[in-house]
Amino acid sequence: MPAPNPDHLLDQASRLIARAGGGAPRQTDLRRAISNAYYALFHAIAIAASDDLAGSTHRNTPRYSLVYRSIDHRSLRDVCDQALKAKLSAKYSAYAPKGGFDANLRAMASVLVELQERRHLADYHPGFRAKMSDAIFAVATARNALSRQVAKPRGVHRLTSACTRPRPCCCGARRRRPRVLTSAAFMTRPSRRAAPAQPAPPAAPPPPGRPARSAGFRGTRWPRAPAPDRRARCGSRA
Amino acid sequence: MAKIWPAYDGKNPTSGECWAELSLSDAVELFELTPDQFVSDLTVTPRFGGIKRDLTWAGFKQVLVEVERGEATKSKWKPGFYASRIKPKEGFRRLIQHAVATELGARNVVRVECEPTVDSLGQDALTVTVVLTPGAPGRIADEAVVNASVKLRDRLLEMSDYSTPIIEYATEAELAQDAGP
Repeated sequence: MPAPNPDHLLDQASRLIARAGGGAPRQTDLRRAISNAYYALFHAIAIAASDDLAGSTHRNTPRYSLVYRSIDHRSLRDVCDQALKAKLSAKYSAYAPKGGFDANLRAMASVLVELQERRHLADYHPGFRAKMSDAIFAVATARNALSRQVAKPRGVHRLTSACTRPRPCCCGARRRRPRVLTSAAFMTRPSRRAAPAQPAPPAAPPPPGRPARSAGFRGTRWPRAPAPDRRARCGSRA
Repeated sequence: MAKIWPAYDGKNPTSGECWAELSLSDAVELFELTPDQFVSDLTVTPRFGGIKRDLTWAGFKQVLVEVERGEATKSKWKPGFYASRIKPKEGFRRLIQHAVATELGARNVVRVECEPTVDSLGQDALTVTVVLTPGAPGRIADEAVVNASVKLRDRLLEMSDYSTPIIEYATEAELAQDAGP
């Protein structure tokens, strides 16, 4: 299933604003247009981050979906707030590019925070009255922010990519590429699948000359069932 | 450059940084300065009200414009502090408007209104309503809208206001008559 195309979301928003047959657009149409403007930006960032983390050639894999769905609005907002600060918090400062984030990236972060707030009003606030100019500018803002990302394709990655320590792929392979901040800030870390409970092995006789260890002693090597080959499922070439 | 300072009455007139640094011509225009509003030269801290009391609790009461020596020599202004007749709340609004209008074009902006609110996270926010001239949405480039958003945020940070700006755009006609049902 392909991800929503950000350009199509913006085109839909423009159609909602320019209502066929003339006359003033409905409030619902204007609200949806503002909401679409935000979601166009959100999906563009999610696609860029997932392409970077899972690989654009793996878009139809469960791993890609997992990464994509792990990006949530709140954590994205937090990262954007950080990118706009003059001084990053200690959590992120080690990963910021030298000289700070560039103007395009700061613009995108600023626009995302602003559109997210507008989206909340448009989608949830009963007293919100959307204006046509407001919807037009929301779409224009999102479109320009996306064009800045296209002009500088690594831009959004920078937003999402202040690397964290490498984590193994779901197939167990270590990735050599630096990981992106998405794994730290955007995403909830996927919980490790609980290994099936193993019956306690029979206590082996202690080697001669060494004291017997209890079964739960730290460092004891438990026999493990062979790990299933998940490499084929995730499609990783690592 | 001219520094714009919000000032308290009492013995501690300022705290932190100035609100903004503008060109002298912009500062004169925005804060309606006249030479007779001169308060003190640069070596003397201007104080107002009960100068032995700490009146910071009462909030900002004055807007001062500091004209530096370098700027003063290029113009007929005397270096020092000038007390604007504009009240701090209005001064704040004018600085916001200045930031937005610089990017959107002064002829496209009628006025800017600011109102404190809370954002979706329950944190402090500032609703900034940009009232546009008729036809302005067709004239303003997409890039200018994004630049205005960034400039506004930077201006708020300069002014030590950390609330999230929520920008609304509307024409006078839209404000008078909202869109249909």
